[in-house]
Amino acid sequence: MKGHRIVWSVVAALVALLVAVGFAALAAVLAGSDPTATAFALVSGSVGSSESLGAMVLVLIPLLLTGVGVAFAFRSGVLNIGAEGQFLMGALAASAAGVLVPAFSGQVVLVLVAGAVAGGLWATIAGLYRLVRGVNEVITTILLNFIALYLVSWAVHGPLQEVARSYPQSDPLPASARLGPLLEGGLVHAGLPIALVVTLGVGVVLSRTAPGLRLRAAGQNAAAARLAGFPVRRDLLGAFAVSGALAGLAGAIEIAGLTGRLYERIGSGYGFTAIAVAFLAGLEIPGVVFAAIFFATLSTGAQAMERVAGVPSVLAVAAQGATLIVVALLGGLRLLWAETEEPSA
Amino acid sequence: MMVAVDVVAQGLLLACPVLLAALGELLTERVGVLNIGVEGTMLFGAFAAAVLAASSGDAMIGLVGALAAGVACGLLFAGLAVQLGADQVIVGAALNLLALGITGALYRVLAVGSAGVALLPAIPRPSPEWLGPTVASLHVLVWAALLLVAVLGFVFARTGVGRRLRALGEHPQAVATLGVSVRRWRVAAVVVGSALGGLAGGTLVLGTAGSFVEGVTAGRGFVALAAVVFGRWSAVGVLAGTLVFGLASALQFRLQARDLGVAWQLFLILPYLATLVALLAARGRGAAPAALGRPYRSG
Amino acid sequence: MAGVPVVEAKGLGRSFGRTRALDAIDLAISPGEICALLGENGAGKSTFGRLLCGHLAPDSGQFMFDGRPMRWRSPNEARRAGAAMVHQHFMLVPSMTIAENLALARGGLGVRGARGLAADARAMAAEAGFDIGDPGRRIDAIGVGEQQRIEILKALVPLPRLLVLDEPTAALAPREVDVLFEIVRGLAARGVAVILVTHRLTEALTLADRVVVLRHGRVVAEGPRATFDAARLARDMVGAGPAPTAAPLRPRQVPGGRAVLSVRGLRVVDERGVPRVAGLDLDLPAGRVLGIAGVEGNGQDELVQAIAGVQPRRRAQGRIEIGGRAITDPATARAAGLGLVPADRQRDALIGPLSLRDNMMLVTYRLAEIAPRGWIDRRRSTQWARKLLAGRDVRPPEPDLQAAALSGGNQQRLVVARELDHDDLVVLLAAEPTRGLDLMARWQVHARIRELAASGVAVLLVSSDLEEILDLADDLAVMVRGRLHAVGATTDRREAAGRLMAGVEMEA
Repeated sequence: MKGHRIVWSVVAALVALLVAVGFAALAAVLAGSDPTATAFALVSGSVGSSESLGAMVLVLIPLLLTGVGVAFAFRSGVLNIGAEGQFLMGALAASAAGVLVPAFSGQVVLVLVAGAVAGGLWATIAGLYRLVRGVNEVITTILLNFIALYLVSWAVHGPLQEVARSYPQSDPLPASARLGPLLEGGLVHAGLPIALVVTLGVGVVLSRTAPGLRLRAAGQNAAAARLAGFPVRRDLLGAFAVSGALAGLAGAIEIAGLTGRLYERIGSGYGFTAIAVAFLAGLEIPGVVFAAIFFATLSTGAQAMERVAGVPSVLAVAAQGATLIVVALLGGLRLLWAETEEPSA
Repeated sequence: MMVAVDVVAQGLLLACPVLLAALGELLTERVGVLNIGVEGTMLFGAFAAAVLAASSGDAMIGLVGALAAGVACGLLFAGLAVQLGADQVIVGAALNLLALGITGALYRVLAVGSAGVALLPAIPRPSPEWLGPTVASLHVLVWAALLLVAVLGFVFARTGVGRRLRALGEHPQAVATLGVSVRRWRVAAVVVGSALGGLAGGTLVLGTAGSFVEGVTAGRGFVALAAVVFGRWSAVGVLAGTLVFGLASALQFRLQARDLGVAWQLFLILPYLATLVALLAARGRGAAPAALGRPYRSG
Repeated sequence: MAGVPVVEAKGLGRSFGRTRALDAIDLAISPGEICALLGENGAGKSTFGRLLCGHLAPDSGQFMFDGRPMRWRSPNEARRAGAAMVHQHFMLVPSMTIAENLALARGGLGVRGARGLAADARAMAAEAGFDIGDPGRRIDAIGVGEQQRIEILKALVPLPRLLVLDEPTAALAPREVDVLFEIVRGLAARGVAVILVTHRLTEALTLADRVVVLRHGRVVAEGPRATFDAARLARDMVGAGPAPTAAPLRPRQVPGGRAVLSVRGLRVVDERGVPRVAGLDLDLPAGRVLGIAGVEGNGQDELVQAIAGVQPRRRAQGRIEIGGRAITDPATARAAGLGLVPADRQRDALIGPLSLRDNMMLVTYRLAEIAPRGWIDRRRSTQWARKLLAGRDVRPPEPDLQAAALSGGNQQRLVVARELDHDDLVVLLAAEPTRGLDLMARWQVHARIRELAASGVAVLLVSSDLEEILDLADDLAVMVRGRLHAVGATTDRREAAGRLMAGVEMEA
């Protein structure tokens, strides 16, 4: 069965890639550029050189963390589609911890922890709504996305705005609050090892520890998990918090590692791409690494395509949608086949 | 007094696209289907309306295009999520991403060649001048949307069709034992609901924004989702929810213009925060249709 | 009553997967006749009703309706031709009013206001000779007996030729049953052929003109009511047994010894407010096996869930203790040493998409056994799981396999291995523990239950299989409508239990 799932994911990725290339070719024709050159740009711009590879990794880091967060949530039976808001709250808290707190050495730890805690608390609000009021988290996490969006907007126009007050952005974080480059003079920052270690950690917790088993059990069949004596409600709240913390950490790393300051619409869309990442991965943590690489490559390749051939890079987003459609289609077909194989009484 | 009328009228104008989309989502959720792809449906509708209105010079043709785009989105969603029983949340999320990507790319490609997309014909405004310039600025779809609130409310409360639609969302098995095809009715409701979502997008670009830009819907589809919850799944409630949004937006414009020192971003939070607070009062599943979000599989 | 039968089945059959639910049934019912279809759960009686009313298509045989061969394409077509069915689970929309539900059933799609609907509802009720009170009340605000009448009313206008009632008294109080019977007699007098699907023989004996007993999808007995008595029906239903005795049934004192499982004043109502467990007390000393027999749906499921710790607020009250520790949720029950084999393994005991290894760890103390510090060692847990699985002959005993890939019997073995093959049990709560098992495995499970009892475990065995209970139980009780009726050791236990299961009222 597991082998099957990987096959399904690869099929979905291939179809999505075809759709992306098809869109790109169509757009290239419409824009009057050469389709072959466009396709070439798509490939060379993502993995063709060390710079483009570096750019790809910069997209990979937030996608990996938010993707792991979404996969972790859905595996635990939490329909968290608010990674975007949790990412933003993480970025907001990280910036506050970096700008408002007087600089001290090792401040970056505080920055990252603040981001993770903020993201976790943000998701926990939705968790409390579900546990206490029985309100579906699909609606609450969407609402919280917008509140986070405007809170960030307010912050960079108000309390966190740069001292110069020229642009809606924060002052840069001091060096003590930032993640250094991985290699001297390189693009890629220390967020990459952090993201990889966290991914590995989440994967291990899910598959090799008692809390992980409890979460997977409750995510698939809450009634059985409950009768097993597992603390299902407490675990559920924990799953909300952890998945939010992962997205929040992604936001903090984006600030501390890449941008160095907070501005409006930061990392716009990572939280939504994360859903495509998680589902292409079949919600398996190791698969998230590959799915995140796939979408990061697609996204940077699309940007190169835009520079070289004038084909809009936003097509990468359409490819994410197409992937999800294919994943849903395959999932639906699987249900249909299961239905015809064994009719219910 | 006139200021108040102005604010209300402007609020209505701003709320109109959200109201149309929310009424579509209301219909969809009433039969037990959760479509979080409203945002994407609106975006497709907005794009279709912009392209067709620009090329024909007729706003009405643009609106027909928006409707058609909505129907197409509805067919895609219903085919996967209702007919095939795929996960409604995934399909909805997919629709949003697809719309953002496709309309964004096409907009950039098409906008290069033609400047016409930016200047769109406006939806006709039937209101007489003596009602004041602001009221007269309300276009025909504002009135149509208000009428639709009454029509939907009437249909749900007092007709057999409405009864059957509500029953589909509350107890689909009961409807199935009457020999009615649950899936076929749900598909129909989803398609009509999505058509309204597409129309909402068209209304936005031709009636409110005046032009299409990438991501022009800016989350209004999600506001529509929230308005349905806020309105506790009733047509009048949905109207109230979208008016809160519209009025908050209208006030925000005014406050921004006068620079009263109140951060306008905090005003933008209001509709979402109000919905969240309203949900605090929800007991259990509240007024939500009992079978909402659950695919129906017949035996 | 002579003339053309309303419906006549010839060799009618239907399978679900590999199960032959109904096998070559021949049966004819005349106008105005009340025919009781008796049988235990799974005997095929509901299936027969659903075939006649277009909810299912037969896969063999055929039936004539009013003398013509018919094959319904939908329940609608059947209803229009005059075959109507009242389902066991009410098909009413709880958030709608009585009037709205009736209108929904009539199928009109046009405009009609609340007052018009109320008038329609009253007209419908008058035509059927019912009193429905205020039709503006919501379904979730009225009692079950009333809901039942609305459900029947839905099927009566226009008057059908054939009416199938599927377990219509399942949720009714005795007084409401009397009202229902009057209604049914009235319908028969107007020429409606009625099929009463039931497992309660008193009902068959009170109401029916003719009785048909089904077992395993076949007709095992058939005849006019006068040719049956309670004893014969009970025997026919549950299978062969010794001759009946007339010994009175008296509740039996549970013998002394410290109770390790104690239940006091347990009451459980379902979501609709229908009592499922109606004030139940129980004391089970260490080392004893109490067998609870009964037809499914008499509150056993709710009793098992409550003892296992699932006690929904506002719906369950009473006090349950295991080894002196109060049980308030499943975690406390497991911590007190409860082993649990639930009747519905798919819903309550197994997680299909997870591996056999993971499923073996689905009890707090099992998980602690293999992962005392929270860390699950892959090799150790695999060996541990393989050993336990092989011990119960789960095939294949591959810990990495998905539980959903196992056959039903092997899934049951897995649950048995997890819940029974453990040394620190205090109480074992086993519901249908051998469902789906072959004879050998069944015998092994029984041996293990005896062994556990001998080592001091208190065993509560809930089963609809009377033989199993007679084999294992030291004490025997029958659960009927949420109450336990003890069966004395001196009486013929099989006969007494059979009568109780079939719903014969107990003398005071």
